[in-house]
Amino acid sequence: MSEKGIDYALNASLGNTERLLVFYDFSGMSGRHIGIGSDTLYYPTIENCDPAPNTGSYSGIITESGCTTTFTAKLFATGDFLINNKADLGKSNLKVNTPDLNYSETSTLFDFQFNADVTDCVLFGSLEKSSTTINDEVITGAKGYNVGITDRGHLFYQGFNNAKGDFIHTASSIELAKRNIIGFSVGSNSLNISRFDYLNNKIQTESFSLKTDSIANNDEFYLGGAQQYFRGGPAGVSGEYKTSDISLNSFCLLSGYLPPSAMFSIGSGFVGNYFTDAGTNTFKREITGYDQTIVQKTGITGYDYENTGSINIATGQYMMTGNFIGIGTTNAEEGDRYFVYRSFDDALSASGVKSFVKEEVGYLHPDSGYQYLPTGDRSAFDTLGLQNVEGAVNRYVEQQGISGASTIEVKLFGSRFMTGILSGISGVVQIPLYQTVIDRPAVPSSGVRLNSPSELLKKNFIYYLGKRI
Amino acid sequence: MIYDSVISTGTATISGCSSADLGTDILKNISVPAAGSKDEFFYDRVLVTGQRGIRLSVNGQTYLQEVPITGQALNEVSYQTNTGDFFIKGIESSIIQRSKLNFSKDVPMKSNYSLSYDVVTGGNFAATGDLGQSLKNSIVGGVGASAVFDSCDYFLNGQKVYSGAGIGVSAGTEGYDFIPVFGVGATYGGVVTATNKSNFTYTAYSKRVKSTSITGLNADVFSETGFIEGRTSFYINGIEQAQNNYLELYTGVSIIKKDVTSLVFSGVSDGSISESVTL
Repeated sequence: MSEKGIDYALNASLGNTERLLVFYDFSGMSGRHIGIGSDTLYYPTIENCDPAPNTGSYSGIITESGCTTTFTAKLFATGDFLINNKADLGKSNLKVNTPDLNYSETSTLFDFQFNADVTDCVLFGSLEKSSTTINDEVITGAKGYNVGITDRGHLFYQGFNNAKGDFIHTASSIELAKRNIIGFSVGSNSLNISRFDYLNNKIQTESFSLKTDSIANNDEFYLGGAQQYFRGGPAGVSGEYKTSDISLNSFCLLSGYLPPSAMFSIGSGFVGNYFTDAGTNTFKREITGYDQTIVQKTGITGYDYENTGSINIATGQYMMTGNFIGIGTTNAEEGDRYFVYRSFDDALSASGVKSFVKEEVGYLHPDSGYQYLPTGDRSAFDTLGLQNVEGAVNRYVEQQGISGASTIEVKLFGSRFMTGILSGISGVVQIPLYQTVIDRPAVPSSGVRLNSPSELLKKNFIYYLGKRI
Repeated sequence: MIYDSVISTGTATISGCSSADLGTDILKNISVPAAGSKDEFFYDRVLVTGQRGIRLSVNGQTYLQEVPITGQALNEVSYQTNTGDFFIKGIESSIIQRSKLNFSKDVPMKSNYSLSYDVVTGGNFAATGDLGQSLKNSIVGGVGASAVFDSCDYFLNGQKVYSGAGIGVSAGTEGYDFIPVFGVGATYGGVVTATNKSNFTYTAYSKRVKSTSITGLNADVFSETGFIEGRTSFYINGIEQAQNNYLELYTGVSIIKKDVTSLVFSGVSDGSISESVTL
């Protein structure tokens, strides 16, 4: 569809679509609404399309389609006239009523293709000449103009200058292909006939001087034929002549004179496809701040001691050791001497050195009542008043020796420093904080992409002039 | 007469026909007129880069460009060419001098000659002194083992030759196998012999991208594929013709219309008074 393409091209070239008077895009037209006008017969009409501001005006009447029923009229429009997304002007002209069109200031774009070989025809027909006799003098005037193609395949402009008569301008330097996007601009006493070569991105144009104030307005124009002149066949129902063997892809008529460069841009909408691209953001990470962490000094906070082993230290001397062992009892009288044995406490014994002490004591009988009756004799016995009684006392044998343990074991302890956080500050660790932001925002773009098929826009015949010159 | 049309077919889409990426944006690179001033001719340095990018047509004869050998003398740079017909100077020269086409002394050149040039990529390959073996070496040296006989256009002293009509191939047609031969005989159709071989210079150019050649005995050529307007070259018997010597048309144009009365006096122009106008 070239509708959006034209819309874009017009806005890009002219800033708006206000100057677009007529736009016919026949792509998909057969599937769209087709109006029906009636006189005595029903005529299908091709409605003016968006982006033309006045879509209610400038409808194209399919002149050959007059039928007695709307059904057959539409059938002709969609079945015969609109073929393969094109309007076959070989089947019918399109008549457009133009009550308010200023013909002396117009710009027109055609996207057409030959149905077969090049044939002469009128593309845009509005020239009508009429004569009036006043006082036996014939005064001839004309309105509108024709633009068409000669047998030679050149574009021509046919007009009438009421001061100097008929004339034709032929753009003989422009050779046509099967499909052509052409334009002609009339205005400011000049005429431009152009063919837009999108394969080479080049404008082929010829300019002519034109007395535009001699161009009177017509109430209608025809696409594919004309009311007068260039008659290629029998008159149609309205007197017009179906002359063309071409198909129309698109057509637009703009008010005012437009230079070929602007027409070239607008015409790109015919052969291109409108596209939009939202674009793509490109992102980047940027530092938004820092997460700061104070770092305390670390160091030795104290010491711990732990057993790291032991050493044996030589004591330097032997130690006496011994033991006593009971061997029974024996009777002893009071006053008899005997030994009482006691060992050292366990703590000393635990060191591996054992010993004992003995004390020589006198025997006192436990049942004597501890009544001593001295006799007066001089002997101690008599003196002390000991009784002559006996009792059993324990007897022991002694074991004595020298301890061989000449060393003692001493446990060893080692110091181990303990580390930790000190009160001092050693520094600050800064961890950057990021956020992802748009580096370059997406730039929406739109335009017309010329990806339509190129085949029909190419030439296909080389004609050598040398043999004929 | 051998007529040869070299036509650029482009790609299937409109934008592809003018795409630099596809190598089809070469409108300005074909049959560019060489600007002349007195006896000097200049080329467009915007279009041509390097010193082997010009295929110059002088009155239809294709001249060979050669990278000159430079020598340094006091306040002077000397240039020497061997087989080439012309050269352009390098960065050692002023911009004006670099834009000038410099012709060898033995090459005919007059100010009224018609000069145009194609900008070529892939360089040119030249040889002399044998029947073609050395040209094959030059091609293979420049293109590599992928070179095939049909990948090049061949010229003999600036005149384009065609297989069987000036050149032939021996020992295969692909890779290292092919040997272009400009010798005599039905296979080659050439004119070079062992005795006159020193009189000839052979050149070869890689064929233009996305183009095709239609060679035959008929001057008027119809192409099934179509071609892009302005991107054509036309040779008659190996001599390139100016682009205004032929028309690029669409089928069916009536060049001559018979039995039609017409009124012509310096054309029918605005301001002419006539009783009737016949197109």
